[in-house]
Amino acid sequence: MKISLKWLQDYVDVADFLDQPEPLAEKLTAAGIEVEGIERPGQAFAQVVVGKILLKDRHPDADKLTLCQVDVGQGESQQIICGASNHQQGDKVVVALPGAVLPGDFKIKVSKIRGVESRGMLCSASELGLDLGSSEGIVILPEEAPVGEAFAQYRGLEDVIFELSVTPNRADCLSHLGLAREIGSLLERPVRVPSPEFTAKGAPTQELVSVEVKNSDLCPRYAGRVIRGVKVGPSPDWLRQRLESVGLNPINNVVDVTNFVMMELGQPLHAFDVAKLRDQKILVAESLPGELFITLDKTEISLKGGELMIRDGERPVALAGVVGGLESGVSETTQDLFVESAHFVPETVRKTARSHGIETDSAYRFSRGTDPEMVKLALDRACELIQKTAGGEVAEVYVDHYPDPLLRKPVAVNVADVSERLGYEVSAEEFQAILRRLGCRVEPMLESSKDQPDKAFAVVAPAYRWDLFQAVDFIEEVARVKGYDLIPEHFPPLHYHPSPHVQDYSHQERLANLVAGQGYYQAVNYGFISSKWSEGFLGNTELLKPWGVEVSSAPVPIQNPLNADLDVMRVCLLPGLFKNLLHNYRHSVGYGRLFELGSVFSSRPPEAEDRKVPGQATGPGPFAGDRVYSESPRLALLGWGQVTQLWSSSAANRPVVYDLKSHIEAILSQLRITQYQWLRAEEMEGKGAEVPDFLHPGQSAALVVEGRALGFVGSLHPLLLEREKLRSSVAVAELDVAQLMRGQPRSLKVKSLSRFPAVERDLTFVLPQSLSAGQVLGEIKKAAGVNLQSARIVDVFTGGDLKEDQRAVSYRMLLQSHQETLSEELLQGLQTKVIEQVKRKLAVEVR
Amino acid sequence: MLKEQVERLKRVEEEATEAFVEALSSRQLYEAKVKFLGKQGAFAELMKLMGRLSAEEKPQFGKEVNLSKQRLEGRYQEAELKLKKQEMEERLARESLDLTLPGPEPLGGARHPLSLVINEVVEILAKIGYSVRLGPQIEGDWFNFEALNIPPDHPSRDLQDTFYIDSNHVLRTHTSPVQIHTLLNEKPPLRVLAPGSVFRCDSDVSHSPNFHQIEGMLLDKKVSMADLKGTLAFFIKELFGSSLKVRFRPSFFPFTEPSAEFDCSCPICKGKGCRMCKNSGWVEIGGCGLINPKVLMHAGVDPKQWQGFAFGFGIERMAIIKYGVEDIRLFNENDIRFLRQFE
Repeated sequence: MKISLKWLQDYVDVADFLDQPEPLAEKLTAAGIEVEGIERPGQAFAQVVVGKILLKDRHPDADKLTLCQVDVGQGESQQIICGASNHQQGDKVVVALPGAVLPGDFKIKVSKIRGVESRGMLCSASELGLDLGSSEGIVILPEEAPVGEAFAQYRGLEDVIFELSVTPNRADCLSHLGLAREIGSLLERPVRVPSPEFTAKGAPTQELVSVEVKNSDLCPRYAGRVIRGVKVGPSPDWLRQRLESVGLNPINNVVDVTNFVMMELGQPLHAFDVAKLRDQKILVAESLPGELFITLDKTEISLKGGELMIRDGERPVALAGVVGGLESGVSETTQDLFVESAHFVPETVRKTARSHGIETDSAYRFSRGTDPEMVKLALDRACELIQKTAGGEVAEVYVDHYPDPLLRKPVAVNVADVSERLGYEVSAEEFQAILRRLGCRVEPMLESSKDQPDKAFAVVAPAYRWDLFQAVDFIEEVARVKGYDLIPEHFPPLHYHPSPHVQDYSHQERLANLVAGQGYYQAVNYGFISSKWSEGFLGNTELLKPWGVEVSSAPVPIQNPLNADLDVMRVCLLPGLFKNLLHNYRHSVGYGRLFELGSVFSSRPPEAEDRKVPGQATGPGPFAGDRVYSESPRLALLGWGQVTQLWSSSAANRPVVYDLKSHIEAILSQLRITQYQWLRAEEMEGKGAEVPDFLHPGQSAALVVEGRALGFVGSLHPLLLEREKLRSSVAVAELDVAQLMRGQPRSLKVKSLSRFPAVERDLTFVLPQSLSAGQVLGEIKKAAGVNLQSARIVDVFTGGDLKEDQRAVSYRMLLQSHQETLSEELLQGLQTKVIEQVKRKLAVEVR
Repeated sequence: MLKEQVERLKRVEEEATEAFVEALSSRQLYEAKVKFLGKQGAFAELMKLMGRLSAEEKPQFGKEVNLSKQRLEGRYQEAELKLKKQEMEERLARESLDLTLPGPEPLGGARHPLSLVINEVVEILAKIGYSVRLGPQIEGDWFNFEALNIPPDHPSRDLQDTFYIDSNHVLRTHTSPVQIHTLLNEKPPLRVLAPGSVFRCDSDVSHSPNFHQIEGMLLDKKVSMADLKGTLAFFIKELFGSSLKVRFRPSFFPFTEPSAEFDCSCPICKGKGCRMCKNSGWVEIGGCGLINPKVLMHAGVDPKQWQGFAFGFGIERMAIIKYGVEDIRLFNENDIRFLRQFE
């Protein structure tokens, strides 16, 4: 909001800050009224002065140009060439002298026009960047304009404008008088409140316009007064200047006065044309559903019912406190006015304005809370100024529905508490002085607090400070006025045992560090995503269920999404990571490993149990009928491309899915999870499962830990790659974090070490393509018994003398006993046993 | 006879010496050793001739042979040492590697800068007894607003543009509702921290619709603004590693009273004025204040018995200050070229 220091000067003395406003701005900011910007509009008009045309001639070489001699109050007259034709000898004009810089960075210099020198420019309104009514030709000033005076001073532009950012609790500062009061209390300067004077005669208002307030709960005060026989027209200069200085456009004298009073006193007003009020009636009542209403700016809105309206005998004429109606408003032909000054409950105005998307200065102030005690003064002030600028006869008596006048209750505040909560000493004297400066009534409470009789006070805040109603509110006021810089630093001692982090956090942190340790970069995506993109990636989400990560087929929608690309909460992390892959790929990052650890969202209808959740019962909100939302943490990995490496060139051809699998195994190992297996779709419990649409059916497996599926790893389906023109292989994995971290941290039990030699034995089996190498490995482990320390796959060979559908897989066993050196016979026996058992179980041959 | 034998001995010794000196490798040297000093070597042959000597000559000759053998042993060792040294030098020269060639590609991998900031903040405050709590991102309207003293249609709702899920649920606009969950579930005294993802429906070059905050809360018998300032001063000092000043400015948050914004002297220019602090010497960090008694009451805590303070700030902003990130979009694009810098 804009505040003019020159205007402010009417209510509190700030003249000493006009040249140097920064200290005042700092003072206000330090007191919580943030001055975001300081403007000096007059500076734009340096070297622009009032001039008088002494002589007007034709340019010797150009018919359309005039050659003028202009007195600019510098003794010698200036020769200026002008292209306009509306000026006459003797006219007062606005002259931009050489050195002036007009809006649009238009620099004025001495120049030659068709061979004749011109020392400046006669300005039009648009060249000055001002709206002065007519814009045809150059500006002709009134006869009384003093020659040589700076134009800025003449127009009242020698001003300082503060741009304020006012917090929602300080509605009282949304006016010049309001800010003057604040400055008055901060600088201990007296404040002048306007005392309007006007003459009133004729019939009382109630006889001319009958006023009825049906909803006193929403409109605690409604006042108004009729002014008859006004002449609507342009406002005088002083009024126009005031409004322009704070960024408002002048409209006509009546509307301008209502706006002026709002900016002066913070009370929004509205003027109705009495002739347009059917039945000469004003009724404050709620709207009916489906009623139509056309606003001042010609927008037709359909009312929802329950909006507080100002109505006449037949129809709504204003959306109370928000905006007036088109038909009942003041026009050029209006003669009799009904000026409304009212107090509406903030919530009702805010709700109406927001539900219809209307933002007005009036709605802004009402919804932040106006002062009901200001209603009368504002109405009087409007009558005074309308009479002054538009004439008319102010009705003898005004109407004022104010059934329950505001009564501010005293609040008990103990000065000892003030000192204690601020951390520094505040004396009772200082406490009283500060609050009195802020307009509070402060009285000692002798009876109620016998232990500290001189420290307890009953404080009553002024009507305009609705935000002060608890003891702590007054404590903040003291701190604010004294300055927050006085608050010392004290380090609160820890005198109890701290609690541990919540387990979910510790688990997620540990897991994220393990994944990063495997070479993955952590991604952070939004919690919401495009439903279209997500569906396009995931396909049929039902298929994911047996894979240990349930993905909701109906994502939680956002009622008011920012745009269609962020319309639902995510159900799976992979669509987001896939988007990140495309971004990277398109920026020529041909190799990458990403992971994300975050929540996915789902909802379901509530059950009786849900209402027993602690906290939910405490809230007053009705939880019935709502859906119940849940969030579960997931870990997703995505990798693409391989790096060509110097020492192992074949690694460049390794399918990325093996990298992901091996990294997940490393993580499992670090989590001390040893009982797990990778199952293909057809191997899964029951009759097997279907592969999710986005995975390659031949390159995907579920991770089953201790008998429970908790996620999957796989290559992306080639169709997805083709759709996005990706030429590298992409592998993904998503795991359920809660399941994965179940029982963590698992304890470590160190195994004793054998003192006897270890022996390696290699076995090669010929496997049909349909048999997985892992199954054979499993059998080897089972057959080898207690002396097997480890078994792993060291080679896979195809071709040669093998049949088309055969692979030779080599396994290396590490054998070692804790009791003895393994004898050759024993080793031979063991090897034979392994071979026989594998052959028997899986029908494969040793190579 | 003795003289003749001694002459032979001398010749053998000379030959052996020559063979030792001229051996080109340890292998050749060893072969020479076997040839002269081995069981069937030249010396053994000489000893066989001993029988031809007289009884007086035998010990004399024996002595000569032993002396000769000792000399040869010495020469052998000398030659061996020299050869070993030479051979080691050759090996070292042969085995020299170009260490500018790369080893296996480093794994890489890193936490996201926002996680790094959260971790650092948690670590600092954990030292003084704070522990982490989490809350839901789809939050009940009551938790996100009303319990925090933001009634429906109240002007203070203007402070936060809200995404709605249904009439009773929103995407939380701040991490403050975690205060309420904690107060409802745990008993004071308390020191807790709530990092997390929050949502506001505005988006421009400096605002993301889904960003991160961290919230701290302390609840105890007596709590003052000075306790709050002291805690934040410690935090800032630990975070930026030098003695930066903390400044409070009055502000308004419905859930705290008194409320303040807290700034610290600019960690980049140490208060001299730079682009980060817009030449003011101060950077805005976050909001804080003493917990409004109304909030405590909403959460079933008696404000006559317990008092508290709370503070909170944006993680993105902290990352911008700490790492000089210039565009907030970088935090969510997940460009590896950006993420790699946080290894």
